[in-house]
Amino acid sequence: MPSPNEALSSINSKKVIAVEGKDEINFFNALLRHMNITDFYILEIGGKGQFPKKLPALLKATGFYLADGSSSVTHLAIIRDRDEDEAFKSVATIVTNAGLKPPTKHSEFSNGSPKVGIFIMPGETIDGTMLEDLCLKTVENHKAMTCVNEYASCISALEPIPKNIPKAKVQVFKAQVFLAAQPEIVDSVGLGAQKKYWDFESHALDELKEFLIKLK
Amino acid sequence: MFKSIKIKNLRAITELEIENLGQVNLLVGQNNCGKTTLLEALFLIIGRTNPRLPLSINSFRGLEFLSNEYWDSFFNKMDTNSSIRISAILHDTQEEQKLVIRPVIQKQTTVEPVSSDIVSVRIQNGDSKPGFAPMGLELTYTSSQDPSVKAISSIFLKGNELTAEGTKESALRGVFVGPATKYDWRNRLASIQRKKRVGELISSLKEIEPDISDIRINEIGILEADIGLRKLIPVNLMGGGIANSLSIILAMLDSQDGIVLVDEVEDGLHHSIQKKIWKAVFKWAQELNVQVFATTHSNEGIRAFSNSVDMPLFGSEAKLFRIERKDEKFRAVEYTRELLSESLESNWEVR
Repeated sequence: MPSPNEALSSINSKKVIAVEGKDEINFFNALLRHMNITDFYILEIGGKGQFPKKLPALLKATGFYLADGSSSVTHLAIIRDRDEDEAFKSVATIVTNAGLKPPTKHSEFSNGSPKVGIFIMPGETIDGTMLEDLCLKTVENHKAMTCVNEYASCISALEPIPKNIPKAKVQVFKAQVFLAAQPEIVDSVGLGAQKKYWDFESHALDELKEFLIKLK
Repeated sequence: MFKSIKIKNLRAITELEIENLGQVNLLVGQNNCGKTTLLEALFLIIGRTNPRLPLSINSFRGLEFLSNEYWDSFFNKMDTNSSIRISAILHDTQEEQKLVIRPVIQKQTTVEPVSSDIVSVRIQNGDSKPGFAPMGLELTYTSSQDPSVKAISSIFLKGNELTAEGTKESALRGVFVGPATKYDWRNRLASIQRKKRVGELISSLKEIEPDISDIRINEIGILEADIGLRKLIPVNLMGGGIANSLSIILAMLDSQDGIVLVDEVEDGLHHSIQKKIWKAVFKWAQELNVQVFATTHSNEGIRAFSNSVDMPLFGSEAKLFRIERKDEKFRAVEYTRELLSESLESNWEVR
């Protein structure tokens, strides 16, 4: 529970980006700064299961709509992990239920007010289900990755396999190992992005950048 | 209990409508967005045909002085050509109550063309004309239960004499608690004593000041408390927190089946006390069927309000409304208990 006097935050930009957690906030802050996109308000929803409850609350937040009922926010970008095959459809339904117009396609914005865009990580052009997949793709040719992949294979072959390396999320393990090989160790992909350990010039980010550039 | 309210041309509010009112309503919004005016509108419609209430709401703002100069200040942009209209729908019966307030105009008319110097003055009710200053207010009350019956009352200054006409008792009880009425305890405690609710008052105050065991009115009308010292202590000397708590709890206990309006509910209260006050408000609102409207600017106060609603059956009756204003447009943004909780958990601004 937040402390009794924890500050409340108003929406202070016409461009709002809703992501799942703090790690994503750190990642996108770094990437958007790299893209010279500075006028945006980014917030965490708190996991994919929170979207149905949090989106209606977000629309009520001070600064989202004006007193005349018009939207102060021009663009609302919603970004979440794939995790499941129907992620886009799930978010689009939540957007519709909240009274907004969803886009018809992934990585696009609707023509509603506000314009709503949905991006499912790591994107349609990258295999995987989450932010870590995208991060690792940007450094797939990094010389440390050979060691990371070998280490992951070796650990995964152990019997019993260590509990902190779930098969479905081996990319999380790999990302942590990659970060452990960097000059200053950080424990999350978002902080890794802040340290510029992921390659923001990689073509792996093209689809995501194409989505984010619409916020400029 | 009101289900909705609509206000037109009262003070700064051009037009504001709020629906889905709860039993306990917290009102937030920036300065000058109309929160206090909303409380005043509720106070006026509660009192219906009591023409002295406009003067009361001025005194709640610390304006006790009475002058013909101030009648137009009740009207939006001081334009007395547009009447003030307040309408409210009751929750249970769906009865619509309407109050229209117009200026009483002092019109100068020549009645005897004998001499151009002779001018008489008479009172005229209704629309004002340029150049004619109001000398009072006329209140017209109607109800959807019997639309053909109009209850008309008025208040006006003639010379230095204040005259109120047509006053009728309202069936609904309303109490206004604000910074200017903070120490207005005497009559209310007397009423609580008569209703044999002093024990409940002490019980609620103990949550805030554990040492308090009794509270009495002394021979000159000052409230004194027993907190275990060798003699009773005036409540005024016990700090702003206990004073504000006492005002709110007294108002709740004295308003069975009525409405309590609290301006700046956080006034003088530490956040830990605010939670206790809200628990007392929810308890008495439920037990005595009191509808509550309270304003606040405090983040801590909003969190205390949200965290105090732990009665499952009563949760849906706790609402927060943010009053928004942009130039001449007003609107109310409604938060249910769930939406408020989600917003505060994410630290999203609701004020």
